Amino acid sequence: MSLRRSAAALLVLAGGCINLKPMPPDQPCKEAGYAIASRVFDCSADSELANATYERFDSEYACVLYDLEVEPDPPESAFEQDLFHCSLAIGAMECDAVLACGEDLDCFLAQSPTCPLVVTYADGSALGSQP
Amino acid sequence: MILLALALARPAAATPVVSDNGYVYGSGGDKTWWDPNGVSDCQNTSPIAGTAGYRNARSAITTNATTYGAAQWAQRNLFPLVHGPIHPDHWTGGWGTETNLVFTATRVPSLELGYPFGSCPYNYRVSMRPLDLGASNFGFAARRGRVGLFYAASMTWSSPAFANNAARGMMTGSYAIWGGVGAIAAPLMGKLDYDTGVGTITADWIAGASIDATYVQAEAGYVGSQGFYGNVEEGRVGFFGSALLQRGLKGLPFFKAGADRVESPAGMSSVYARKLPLQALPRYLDTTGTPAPGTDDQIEDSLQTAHLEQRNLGGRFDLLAAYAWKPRPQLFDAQAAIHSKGYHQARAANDAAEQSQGMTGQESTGWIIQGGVVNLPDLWYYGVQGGIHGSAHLEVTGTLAEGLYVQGRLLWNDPELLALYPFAYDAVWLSYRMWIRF
Repeated sequence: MSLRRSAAALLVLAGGCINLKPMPPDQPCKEAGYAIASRVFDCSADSELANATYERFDSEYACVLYDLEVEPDPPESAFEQDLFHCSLAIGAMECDAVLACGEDLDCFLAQSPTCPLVVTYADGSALGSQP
Repeated sequence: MILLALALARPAAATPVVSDNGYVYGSGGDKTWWDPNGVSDCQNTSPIAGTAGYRNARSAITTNATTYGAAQWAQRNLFPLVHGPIHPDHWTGGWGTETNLVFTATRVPSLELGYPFGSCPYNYRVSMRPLDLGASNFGFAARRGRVGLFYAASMTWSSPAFANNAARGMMTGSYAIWGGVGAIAAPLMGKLDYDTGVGTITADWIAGASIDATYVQAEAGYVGSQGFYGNVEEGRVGFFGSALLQRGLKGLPFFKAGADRVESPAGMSSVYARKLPLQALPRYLDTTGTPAPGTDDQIEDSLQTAHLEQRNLGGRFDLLAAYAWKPRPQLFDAQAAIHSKGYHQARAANDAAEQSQGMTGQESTGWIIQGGVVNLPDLWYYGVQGGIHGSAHLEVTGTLAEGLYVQGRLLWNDPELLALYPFAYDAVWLSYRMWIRF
């Protein structure tokens, strides 16, 4: 190993290993699930219920993938920031609204018009297309 | 080393890509051996509100400011300096300083601002940016007879990591130096609480008096940020109990009871149960910093564990295991360690030394290398998928001169750290401490 690579290895170790990572393609979608679990926990104080709610989200819905390796064309069309409005809107729900949604995950995912951009049903059909 | 590395670096010239409308973007950055992804110019970012990473960052900032704030630090490191034999005719005590750095406490989804941008690769226009935490503490405690005085100050901070590790290392080092200076001057700065987003600085201090009633030590004081403070401790026998009174503090209420470092034919045995609060969920903050409505109090989960520890096997080896029954029943961690002879002292012997000499078992030259696995539960409400992670703990304590002690620690996935920051898997924790007794 060269001196440079040895120095790099030490620097990487000292710096906490890998630094920046690109956004995983399913991150905006997963954030919606995390937000639902977080609000369920916050409003029910039931960590088991919160974890179970996320696991149901994971099994009943599918993620729309956004691969940042694809260059936006034109560049100003990049709208990644909008994809996180879904989790932001779910996180802003009052507890009364959270309790009113109960186990109806569609209810949580109706909080923002951007949710259908990141989440579909498990069979790939659009949110709201199933009774 | 960092300067040497920078001197050796020969950045490759990037070829900017100029689009039809004149924007410069997607150059791929300046890729070098120390920045293989060419992300050095990805510096103009903003954390994305509403994400688990953002909430975890806010949570980590609170935990950092609390755990390493002046009051908690004084309780852990300063008050023991005035426990021990009572000398009615002269002052005894000590002075101490400590710096803690946590690299990648969490990763925050962050948006590169001003897109399209120069040399930041376009696939990093949304990145998972590490959050680094730091804390510097300074303080002293002195006692004459049974009554003493103490003072401590702290500077805690958080920072989105610089995009390349060389700059990150240098800046973190400078933060640590300025944090130490800031900690000394904390009372002069008044309430310094720059606390928005994920880049924060908080200063705090505590001053007060202590009294030693032989079997019970009590401290009372004033915390700059929180008001009055009280602490009572008892811990002189092998079976122990402790209680904290922290009115007005955002403390870490805990429960711990059992047998600690009791001498046995095989070495030293510890059996205890412990309840640690997992960091309370921060309320959601919208883009204006407004908390989500409907929850006045943060909800807190707890990590409840049973510990079985056998230390000093053959005088050199330790075996430790912990089982968690909350939040989910599972083996929490299993560790093995090798250490220098005499690294551990039985609690009773430690207390006797403290009584007769005013010293603790920490105050000797020694080292320990500990490794194992830690099994995290699923915590989806933190955005954390559980699983088994490797774990390591290196610690060196030395005596530089009579009464002058230093300690350095490097931890990776340490169970204690993960209890504080349950989302901080694969974080690296670096700390050093120095203290003087007089």
